Amino acid sequence: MQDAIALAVIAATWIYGWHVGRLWVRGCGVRGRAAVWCLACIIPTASLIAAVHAMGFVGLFSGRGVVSPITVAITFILVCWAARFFVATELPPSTRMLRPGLGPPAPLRMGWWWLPVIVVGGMYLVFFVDAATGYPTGHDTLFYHLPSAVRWMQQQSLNPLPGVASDCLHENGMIVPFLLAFAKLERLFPLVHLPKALVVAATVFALARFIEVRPLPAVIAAVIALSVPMVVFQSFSGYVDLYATASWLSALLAIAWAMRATTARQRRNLILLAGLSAGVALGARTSFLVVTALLAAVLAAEMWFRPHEGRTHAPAPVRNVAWFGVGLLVCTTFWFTRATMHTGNPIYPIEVKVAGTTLLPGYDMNARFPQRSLGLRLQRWWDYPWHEAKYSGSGENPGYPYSRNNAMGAAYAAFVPLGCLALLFGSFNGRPRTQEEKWQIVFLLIAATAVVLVPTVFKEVLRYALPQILLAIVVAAVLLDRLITRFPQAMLATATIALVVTATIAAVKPAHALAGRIRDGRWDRAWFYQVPGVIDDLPPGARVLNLAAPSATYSLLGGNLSNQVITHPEWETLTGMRVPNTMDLQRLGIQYVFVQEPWPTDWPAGLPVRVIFDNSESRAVATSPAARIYRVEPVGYAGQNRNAVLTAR
Amino acid sequence: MRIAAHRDEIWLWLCVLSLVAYLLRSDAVTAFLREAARLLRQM
Repeated sequence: MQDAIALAVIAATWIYGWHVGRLWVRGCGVRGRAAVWCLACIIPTASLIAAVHAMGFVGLFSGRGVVSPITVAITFILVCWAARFFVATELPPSTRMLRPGLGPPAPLRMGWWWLPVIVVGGMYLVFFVDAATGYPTGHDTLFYHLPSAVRWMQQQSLNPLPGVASDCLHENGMIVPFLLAFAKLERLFPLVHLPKALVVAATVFALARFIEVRPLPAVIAAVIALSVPMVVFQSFSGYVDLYATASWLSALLAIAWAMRATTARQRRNLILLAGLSAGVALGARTSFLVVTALLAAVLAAEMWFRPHEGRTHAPAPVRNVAWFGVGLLVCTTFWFTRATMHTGNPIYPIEVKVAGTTLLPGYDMNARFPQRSLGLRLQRWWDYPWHEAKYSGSGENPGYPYSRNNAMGAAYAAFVPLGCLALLFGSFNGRPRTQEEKWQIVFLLIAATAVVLVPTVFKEVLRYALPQILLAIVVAAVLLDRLITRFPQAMLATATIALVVTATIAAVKPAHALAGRIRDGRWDRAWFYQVPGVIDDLPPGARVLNLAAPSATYSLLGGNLSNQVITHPEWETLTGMRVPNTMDLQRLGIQYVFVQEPWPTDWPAGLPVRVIFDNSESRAVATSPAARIYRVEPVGYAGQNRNAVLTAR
Repeated sequence: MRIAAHRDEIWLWLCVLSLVAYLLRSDAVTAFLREAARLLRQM
């Protein structure tokens, strides 16, 4: 109950923080509802993360569990008050328009253009109903994102599992599930990233408006962004790419407005805001180092952006980058420190190697991902938007490609590559003169980095380039603007057909899953994950060794999220052994071992375990692998009746 | 000169062709149609 009240206080403080954020960005001269609303989200988001990190630091250095919703709520309130104080003293409300000559905003008349909006809205509704009536899904979500968040809740600290380097990833995206886990609000886990999809849509709209795209084409650009299958699938999963991308796009928007600021103070505070937001992104996914560096490069180019007329302060590229860095560290320092303390590498798992010498240890990406020739990679990726073959980092998986990892959708294929080409050809006419033209070129250049990064540094993992993929939609909005103005009916028909195609194909998966649950009339957790129901009944704190698929880890935490699960890779790291042995089972306090078919045949004789569950003969869904749960017996049990089945249900 | 005058018409047709190319080539469309055909056969 205490935790639920504290969570309600945190939610109320978030709204207060959003109000503070609104005052902040308005004080910096930002105009436009979408821009103000999504930039205002930065303050409460970063403040909440900073509050959790502050508590995390205490746990990191004291070894004690001090992070709870109550301590976080108190710290969060203090941080938001500090931000309010800062706004009151530093940013008097600005009533001055930054660009007085701009006039009132162009009117937005949707008319028949509501059709594509309704199509995409319908797709999200199907996903929403499926997610709201189901449980978290997705390999990485179930393997390590959510299990980490639950483990933090259990130990009340953000300390990683001792000796397990792979538990040292940056996880800003799991802060909210971590807090929800205290109140056992597991059913909200699939929905926690849905607001980020709305932030993405608002930011795409605001960025398009920033480069003088009219409201209607900007809305259509936002709708296309929401229709990208990677976006919609990640909106209802624990994958963190969308979470990080939303923050990164907000940072870019803050930088764009900073370059228009009329006073040095406004510029500094917007850059600080951009740094905070970029830090939220970088603290969620280490691969954002590359795109964060691109933001710093944009800041350093202030001289090129800023119009000479009306400038009241000199460009200060070094100072810009410094303020950006200060903001960046607020939401990343904790992860850098934690990773350095446990792995010796602040940007773990990225390995840094120079001339064959490992400077910072991490995953060897070349060993982790298949090596293919550059020619083959280019051949596979140059026309990706139109064929969407399912390439993943670990191999090729032919078949249905719409997922959290793959695909851009029909509307993207129809408009975005051509929109980028149109801008590229248009830019050959001469040097960009206006600020808007310069920003169009900058957006295009940033988006184009995906073409180089996906087949090389990103090892063909498309979702790593999600920021650039969505920024390309902003670039294409310039062409959309022209075409919608000149050929409204043809564009409406093309866009609607494309969105109907994508929405139909994308909605098949959740609709199928939902129909299956309705048909079976089973809505419980064990049925959803096809794991034994006994998992939910284990005594609180039961330590379970998961020797089955890594993605079974989350389901083994139990309905009360009270089991402690050790994954197979963690077992190997902690013991140096692949198979269980008596000494390590006792040393690590393992009480249960979970396995799925094919049954292990290499366990040592005399292992003190006894089967307490086996559904080989009784499982309801024949296509799901049979499962066994072994109970680890006290020393001296020595393997008697290991295969005697006592319980099955 | 004439092409420049019809620049936007050309881009519009290219967008339509791009959508057609997607419908013909995308693995998502192929997989969806295959699955739909399978379900229809079952019915």
